[in-house]
Amino acid sequence: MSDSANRSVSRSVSRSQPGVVKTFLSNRLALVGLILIALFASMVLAHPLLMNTLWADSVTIYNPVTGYDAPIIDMTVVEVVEDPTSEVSLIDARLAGNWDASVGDVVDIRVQPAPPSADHWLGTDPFGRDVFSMLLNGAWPTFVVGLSAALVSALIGTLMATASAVFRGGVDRILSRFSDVLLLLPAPLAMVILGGGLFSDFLSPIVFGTIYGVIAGASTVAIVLRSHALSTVERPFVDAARVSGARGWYLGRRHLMPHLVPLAAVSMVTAVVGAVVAHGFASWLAFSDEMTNWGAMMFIAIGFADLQGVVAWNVLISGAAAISLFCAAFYLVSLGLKDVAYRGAEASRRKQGWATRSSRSETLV
Amino acid sequence: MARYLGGRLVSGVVTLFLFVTFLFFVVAVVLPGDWTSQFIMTGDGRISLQEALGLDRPLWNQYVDWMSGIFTLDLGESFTGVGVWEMISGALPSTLFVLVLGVGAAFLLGAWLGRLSAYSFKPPLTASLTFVSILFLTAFPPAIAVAIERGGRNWLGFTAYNEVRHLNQELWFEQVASPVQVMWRMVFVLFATGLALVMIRLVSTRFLRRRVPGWVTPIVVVVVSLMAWRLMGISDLAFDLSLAMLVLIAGVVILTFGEVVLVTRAAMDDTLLEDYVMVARAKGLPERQVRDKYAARPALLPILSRLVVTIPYFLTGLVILESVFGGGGMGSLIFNAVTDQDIPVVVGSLLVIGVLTLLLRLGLDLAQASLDPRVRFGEPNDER
Repeated sequence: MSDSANRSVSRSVSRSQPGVVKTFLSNRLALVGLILIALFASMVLAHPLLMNTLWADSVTIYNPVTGYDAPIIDMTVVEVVEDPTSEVSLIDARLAGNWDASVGDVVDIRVQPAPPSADHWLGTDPFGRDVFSMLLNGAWPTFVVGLSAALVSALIGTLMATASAVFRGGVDRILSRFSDVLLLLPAPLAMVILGGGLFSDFLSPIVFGTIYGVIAGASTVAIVLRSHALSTVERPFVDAARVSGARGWYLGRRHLMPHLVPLAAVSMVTAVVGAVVAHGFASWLAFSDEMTNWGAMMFIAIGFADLQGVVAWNVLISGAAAISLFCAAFYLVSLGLKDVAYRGAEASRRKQGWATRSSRSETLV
Repeated sequence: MARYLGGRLVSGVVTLFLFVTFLFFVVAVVLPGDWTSQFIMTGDGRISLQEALGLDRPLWNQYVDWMSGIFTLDLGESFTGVGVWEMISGALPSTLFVLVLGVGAAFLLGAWLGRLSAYSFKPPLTASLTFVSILFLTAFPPAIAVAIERGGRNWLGFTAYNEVRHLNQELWFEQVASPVQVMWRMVFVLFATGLALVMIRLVSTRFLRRRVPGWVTPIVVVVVSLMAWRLMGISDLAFDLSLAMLVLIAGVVILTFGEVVLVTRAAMDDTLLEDYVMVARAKGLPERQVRDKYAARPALLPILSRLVVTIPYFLTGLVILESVFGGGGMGSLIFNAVTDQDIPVVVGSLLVIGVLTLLLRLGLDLAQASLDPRVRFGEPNDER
């Protein structure tokens, strides 16, 4: 990060506008986000590849849903177990098949959940499944949830904002009232309630993302885009289009929507974060029918902690870190997109004075 | 000003009315089945239950009943037979207390860090602040909750406000007041203090032309609360409760302050370009004064308008935290109800959360109007 004084100077000095790609890539945080997304995308590809090549001989071990393996670990038999990762009580040692074990011996114990090893890079979970395989397998549903939410919310938000700005009056009043009402219903919470109670049977990732997109798009995204559309529609080129006969949807489609696209892209990316968190949370509460996504991994790690007496930290941290990093990646990309969106707003601000001055900060996050 | 606030209030009531209608529509029309289909029940039994609950009447009749019930705080009965409002009023005070203190503290901390970060000329500080804010903003809320809960329990030895059994038994044993009653009083004190502070601020800005400095607010809130607790004779109990809720407040601060930092920073990046900031520096004002009085004050406006959109998400974060810690507030109420498919409780809780959001938005409108003359004297329905 360069300091703000430098940036303000360079921003006001550079008259010629750099290209979209260059603007985006000049934000180093956005670049990091892009690399992270590429990493997650490669995880989606890596899972079927690994299942068909490296893990093809041992599908029963590496299958993310039904696989099972309990690696053998040397443990010391002791009276009172203080460190459950390397010590085992006498009774447990004998129950595990070492009938003649006594205190002080080193015995082979099959453990489950197991710590990371050469066979299982991230260890195994309380069911004895390979955590690395589960992690790779969870990438695809997360992408589906995030991307469907992003597309649907951007579509609905843009349409509502355009209609508001073009038709004004009654249409605008009804639409913005609708957004206000929906804003009282927090989208993540609504999704968790839907997933938990009534629709859990057919709430597949794509349906989940779509419903989330409808709620978030009609409330948050529509509100943010509407204020931008209202200031855009005041600009001279729209008047020019009106004079030459453009009306209604044609005006909205040809002249207004292109100016909403950058901001819509920003909202799209933030919708990904919201949808993924909501989906993760629903899965974390075990309100999801597929049991192998990242939220469900956290549920498994915590849910079996009391039963087995030890928290499976490898499972917990893998799931939590994957969701957090996934959200962070899309958030960082949204920072770069904001620079791109702001590039246009900056130009119009120079011409227009105050009209769009807070557009950037209002769309942040 | 009064006209503007009146307009916002009316529009808020209309929005709430539509929201209630929307909830009714979803429950009665969109959701398959009705309340009776929760039970495995067919034939006469189900029909008689439908008649008892009034579900066989026309939709219009049911709607009028539902509306009038809400105005008298009668939110129906849970499947467990307890009144919904009774359950919610047991869970609400803890949520209110934590939300107000947590978001307030996060806002103060975040705005301060954001100012620091936007005005700092030391890249290590700015970069690390940005990194930490993004980290906490995008962190998975249950993960943070689990980290706080496990870490707090294992290493620091404290427990969250959970149920009565987590409180100091000796203290509560001979008391007449229940934790919920004490908590309602704490919430009342908090809100009364807050309201009084807002009034004093408005009066002193408007008539005395003097601003009350920002750091006064938290100090006054703490001092007045302590005094009021003492006067009501609930000092020990209130301390016990707030100690138990400290974990949740910390969780809310961690979940929300990152967003405030980033929004403040972006808004300050805008205002730092303004000519009056350059003038203020050129005439030799201390940097602190330029930062806090010239650059940061206009930056508050976009922060406030941004908060309007994010408040539901703050509430969701709190609800998630509470459901992880279990017991206590609205969060666990909702998720227990969802698990039990107890629709009346879920709908009632959603309604209460909607009202909370609306009240917070009105508070933000008030703040915005007191900060920005364009809002105060402008057209009420100009911008959203």
